[in-house]
Amino acid sequence: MCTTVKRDPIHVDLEVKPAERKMDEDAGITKSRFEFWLRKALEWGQITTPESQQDVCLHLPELQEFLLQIYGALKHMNCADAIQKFPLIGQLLGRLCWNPFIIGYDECQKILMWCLCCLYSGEPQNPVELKANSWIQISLCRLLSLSGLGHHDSDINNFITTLGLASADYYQKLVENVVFSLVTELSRNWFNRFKSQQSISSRVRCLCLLCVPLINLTDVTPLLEALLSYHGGGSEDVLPCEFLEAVNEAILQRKISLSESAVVQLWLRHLPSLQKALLKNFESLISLQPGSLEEMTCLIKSSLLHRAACHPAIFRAIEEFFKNALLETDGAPEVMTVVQVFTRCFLQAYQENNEQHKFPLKAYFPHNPHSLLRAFLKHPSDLPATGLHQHLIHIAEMLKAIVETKCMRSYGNLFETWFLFIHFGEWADTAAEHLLVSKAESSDAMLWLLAFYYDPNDENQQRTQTMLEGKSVCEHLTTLSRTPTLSARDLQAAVNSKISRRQPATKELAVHLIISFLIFTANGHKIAREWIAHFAVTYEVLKVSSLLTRIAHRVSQLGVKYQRSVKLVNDLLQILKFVD
Amino acid sequence: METLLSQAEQLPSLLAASRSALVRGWDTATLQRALDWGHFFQQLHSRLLCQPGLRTALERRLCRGRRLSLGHLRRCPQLLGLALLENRALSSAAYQHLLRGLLFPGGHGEGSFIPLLTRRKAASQLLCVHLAPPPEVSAEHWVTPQLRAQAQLLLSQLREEGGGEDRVPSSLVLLDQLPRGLMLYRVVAVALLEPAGEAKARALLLLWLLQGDPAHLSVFCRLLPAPGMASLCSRYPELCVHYFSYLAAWGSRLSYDLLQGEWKVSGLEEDEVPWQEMRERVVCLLQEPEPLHSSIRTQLSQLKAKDGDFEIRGLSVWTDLLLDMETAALEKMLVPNLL
Repeated sequence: MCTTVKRDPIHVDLEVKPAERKMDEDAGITKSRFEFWLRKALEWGQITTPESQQDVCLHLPELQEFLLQIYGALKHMNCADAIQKFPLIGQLLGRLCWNPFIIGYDECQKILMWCLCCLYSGEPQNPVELKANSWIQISLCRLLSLSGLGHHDSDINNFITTLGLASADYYQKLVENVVFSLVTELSRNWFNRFKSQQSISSRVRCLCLLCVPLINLTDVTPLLEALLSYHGGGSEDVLPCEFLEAVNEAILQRKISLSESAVVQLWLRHLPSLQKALLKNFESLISLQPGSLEEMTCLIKSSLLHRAACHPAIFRAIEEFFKNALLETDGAPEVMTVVQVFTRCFLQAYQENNEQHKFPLKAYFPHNPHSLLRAFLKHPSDLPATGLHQHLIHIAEMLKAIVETKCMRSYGNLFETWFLFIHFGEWADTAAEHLLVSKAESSDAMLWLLAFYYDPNDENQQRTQTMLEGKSVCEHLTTLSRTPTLSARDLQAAVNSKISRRQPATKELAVHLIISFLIFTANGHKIAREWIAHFAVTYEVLKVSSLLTRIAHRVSQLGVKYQRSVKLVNDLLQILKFVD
Repeated sequence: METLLSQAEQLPSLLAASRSALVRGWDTATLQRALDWGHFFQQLHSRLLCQPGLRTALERRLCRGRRLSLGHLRRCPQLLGLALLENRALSSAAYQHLLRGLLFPGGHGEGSFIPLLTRRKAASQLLCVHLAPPPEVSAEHWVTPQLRAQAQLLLSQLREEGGGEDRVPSSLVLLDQLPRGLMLYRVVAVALLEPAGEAKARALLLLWLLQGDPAHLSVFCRLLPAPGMASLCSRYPELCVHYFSYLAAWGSRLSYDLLQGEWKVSGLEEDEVPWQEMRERVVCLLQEPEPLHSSIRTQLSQLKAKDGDFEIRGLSVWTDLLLDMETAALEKMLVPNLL
């Protein structure tokens, strides 16, 4: 249910003559804008239909902006000057003070009261100023005191004052109780007492609109949560888009914090909000790079997206988003890293989730064989040293079998398989490490894994070529690992001679192998700092650091055996910061 | 400590002055001094936690003479600021100074409480409109959020007042100072019905109702709506005893109009309850769970027996009430879907 009220084209519909364009040079408050808001204030004061309420809500941010400008102009004036400059200022402010939507919104009430304070004369010189003073006091009392509540006014006032309390105590408790009553009504479905489904929906919709200006008032949080989990009987969503968008915006700007289930409900019922949250998180994750994976993990966890993903519908939307990002960037390493880190966070959340209605993992990856998924999910620390090698071969064989099966050759299926592999990219890193340190004879399987990782789209059998060149680089690196005196220049020269320019994937694979060589072999350790300082620029620095951060994260979890490597990687990352 | 105590003794007169015409003579310097005192009292309160000796002494001193509590110390800047804002006697210069101080606070290390208060008031206005229940269910919804807010504030103030055994009288004094009327009784009833917490404060409230001025209790039982009284009786048997005796008295004042075939009030006495209301009050009591249900039924039968135990309408209010209840129960059994 998405109805949008068309905004008034403030800046175009009114013809403004040059002479009257500026009422106040500094603040840029044109007469037409002033009149526009005065007209709006009049309009809102007279009609209280849901449509006019929607119109108020739609204009609130702009109005607040305008009021700030007015305040900016007023603070340098006394009452007489202000009235001369803005003859209708009293009418405008007075009408706005009457409107609870405006008073309830964000900081509008504060700015309005600042304006009133500017207009107050400490030493009134004439009847106009005296009248203005009296009017300001009346307006402020209406905003702050217990009057204005109908015939119970003085009773409540007496009661609260006799208790030794102030209106601030009363309204705090009142809002708390009103919110509590509404939450109870919603949860009991008390609204169902109304005759038709239609009138229930319109009541809930109306309530949502009332909440829009109040969203960042913490007292209202329980009501927002109750509304987000409210489902009417009908098939159509009863909550209006304006409400959902406003709540989402407040969450993303960290102006409010709602319970996890409420946030999930919001994203489940409003896909654009989920997409916006994803995009925002994704953008920060990309701009964070090259940063540590721990920082990325924190960013993901603070977004709640990884936990929301435990709901398969949300997971699928996120996957769709990642797929598009990978396709549009041609598999940029930053995106691949994001997918990997996100997957890790998701799996952790999935394991921690003890809900009764837990979906099987298969539900999240419906397009992939379960055996492959199971193989990827194995944790390297659960396998013995030799077992790890076997497991890599097993993964390579499974992937190869899937990719090379005739019926699987369609582009979509190929992509799905590769996409799953990207989620668990640590296995590619492990394969590169094994190619250089393992003495076992099975380098083809590892090379195939890496070649597939960097070049899934095997047009004209180019993967065979990539593998051949990769093998040659790898053999050369193995020789270098046994050379007694090695310099970074030797390494660079040797690798350069092995890579052809026709195969972009080979270059990526070669960097991966070089970095693994530097980190996991003794000879590599000796020249690592030098190579990074002088030759990392030959490749894309971002790619190199992205690889290093991934490896840093992986080895830091492998225990004391890798302590030296961990230190080295961190040093290299430091050096990289000054390269480029 | 004695200096502090004598300074704190100025609190009541400061608060009283802020609400009076005395402020007419205040210039900005006087006003600022008053506001500074307000902040001083607030700070004093924040230090009481770690100084229990001072706390007790202050409590004693404040409660002596004019009734004030430590809460007044804590809330002093708010109480003072709001009272002065509403005070028309304040000069323009002082008022301007006050406004600036309240809206642009600085120096005291905290933001102004004014915007949040305004926002909350607006929020309650917006949301209360939505709460208005449709007319057909309003009878059950006599417990409004306004009443609940007042009831919770009353309970918390009673708790603050009545910390120790010796504080009991001061809480009862507070209750006697509250403006009497329907609103007070409703607030008291809602406070007694609060689901949890504040047991001590609720006990005080019940004590005030049952053992204080007897006029309170009869007006309380008379003015409160039938469902409210029934819920209270279910929760507080000691209150039920009194309520039923009032019901019995009200019933005995009804007389049967033979021509119109119905129970009527004489219209001569103040404390009369019409038949329809009697009936509603009894129905509500009988709708409460056991043991109240059986107890009310027994007591009604006893009253009926006193009147001669006739089964014919028009002779005893109690016979007629019981017959009515049976008919209603039968109807409910036969056509449950229509009700």
